[in-house]
Amino acid sequence: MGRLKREVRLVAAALVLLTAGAAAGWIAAAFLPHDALAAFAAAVLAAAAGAAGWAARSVFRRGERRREEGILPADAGTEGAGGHMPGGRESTAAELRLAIEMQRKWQPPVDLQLGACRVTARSRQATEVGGDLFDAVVLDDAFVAVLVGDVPGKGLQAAFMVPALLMLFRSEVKRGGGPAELLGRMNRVLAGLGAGSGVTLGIGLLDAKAGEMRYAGAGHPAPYLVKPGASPRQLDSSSLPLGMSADEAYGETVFRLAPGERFVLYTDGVIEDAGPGGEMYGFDRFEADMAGWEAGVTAADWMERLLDGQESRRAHRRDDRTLLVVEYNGGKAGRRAELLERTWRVASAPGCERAIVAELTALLRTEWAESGRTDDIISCVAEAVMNAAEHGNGFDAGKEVAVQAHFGHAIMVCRVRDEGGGFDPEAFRAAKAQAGRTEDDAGYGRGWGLRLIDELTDYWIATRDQNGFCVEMYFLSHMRKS
Amino acid sequence: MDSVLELNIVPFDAGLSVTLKGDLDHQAEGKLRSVLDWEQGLGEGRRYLILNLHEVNFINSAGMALLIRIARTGRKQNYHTFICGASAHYQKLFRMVGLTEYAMLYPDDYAAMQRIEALESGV
Repeated sequence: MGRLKREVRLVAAALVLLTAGAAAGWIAAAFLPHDALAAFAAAVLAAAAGAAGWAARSVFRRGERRREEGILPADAGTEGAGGHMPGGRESTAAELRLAIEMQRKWQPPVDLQLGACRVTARSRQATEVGGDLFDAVVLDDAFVAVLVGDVPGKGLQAAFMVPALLMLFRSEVKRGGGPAELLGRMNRVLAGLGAGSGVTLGIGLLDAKAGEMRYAGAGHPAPYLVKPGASPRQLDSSSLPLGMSADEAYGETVFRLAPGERFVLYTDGVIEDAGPGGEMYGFDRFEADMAGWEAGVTAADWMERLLDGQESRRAHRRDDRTLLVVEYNGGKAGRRAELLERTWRVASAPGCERAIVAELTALLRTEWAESGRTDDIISCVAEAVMNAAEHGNGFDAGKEVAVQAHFGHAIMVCRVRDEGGGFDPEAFRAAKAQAGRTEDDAGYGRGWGLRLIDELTDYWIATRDQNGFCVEMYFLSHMRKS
Repeated sequence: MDSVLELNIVPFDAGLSVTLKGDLDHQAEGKLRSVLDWEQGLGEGRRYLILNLHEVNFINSAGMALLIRIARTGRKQNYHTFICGASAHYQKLFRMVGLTEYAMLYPDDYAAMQRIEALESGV
């Protein structure tokens, strides 16, 4: 039991190292000028690499000692952080629980609507903490950046690297440039640190109004374009994974999605998934599944069906499997989709949240009524708009508060943007710690808006880019899937 | 959503029943403060305040702060605050911000009155 506690402490300490670094990075992303962001992201990655290495080495060394002492058999696994832990099942489970919490916090689900485009991702992990990563970042009214990637290894190594890479991506994508340039910048950070060698990434930058996509990959399996009733077309994409050569130049492909067309990103775990006899799922079967994807079937349903189908063949699998699909519904097919995304802009004034909240309430009652989240969303949006108008824009009527709401199949994302310098997370933490128990009557209500947002959302972040300061809130539908 | 707060105050033997209608936000503060000098208590020895929210559609953090100030004042001025008619969502938020440390929540004014009668009879 004592040994178990020591091992859990070791892993917890390593996680705390990275969490602290990652938190610093997010604060930097919100408050520092862009030129300083890469340095912060690099520091976090260095901390991630160092902490992962330290934890893995410590666990490995202890396993060796215990093997010498005869506690473990000589053939017990020594795969370190990425595989079987010499600490035994209980410590591995404790480690994974910590890592799971960490990775969940950093990898919110992707299911969003922007203009005529819908972005959906599904990921299933082979072990409890996987090395696959995915993300979608809305950059303004029309652009969304999507990412799918694969970190070598799983377990602790993935728990450290995945959030660090996501932070680097989110920091870099807001500095501008196309996907090739973005990969180049991320590659230089990783190569400079000697960390993350072998990470594969595919990044797409989508103009959701025009349906135009710019794509670049770094050692990642080439994506597909899928049109109902036609054979899927694989894009040309060939390059080194990240972190192997600082000089690597990444190529970019630009194309326009036709109405009804889908862009499919995936990780190699989908292709290499093995059946009970060891036979691989393979590209041929994947392409056949895409070719049979009918026009009326949503990406979410298609992905679930594909992943369920693979699982029905075999219970145990070695690699994570991730799919991300961009559906373009321009033209007639896009009319309903466009209903599910709204933008409001209001001048900053006391009570300016009222009109937005009234319209959003009506929208939620018609479009997302079964989610069970209407009250939570309304309270959070009202608080965020009030904060933006009062604290962000100082009730300056010449400054606007912009609100974007995106309704997905299972998630609603709302962004509230102001023109101010952003709030101080320390003030929020202090207010949360006080939890409304001040003896000063006038102090009541201070910080409650953020506290309510923190309590009522499933996930939220604050970011800053060239357009201002933004609070981004995620709400998962409570409706159970039938 | 877009409604200014209206108040209907009905005194009873031991207290005041205040029915609120509209939005309870920062703009409501002036209205609530104009009907009574809360710092002076409820007047005429009244010891119970019922705030009926069943016609309030929207409450934000400023509105909750206002409720908590009134309830805290009640503790100093020796009146008990009962809040009734709040939806499950707002009851959850009241607990979140600590309002329930100063005010008791009841589903409706009938339930609140029953509790007041019990208190008056020493139960």
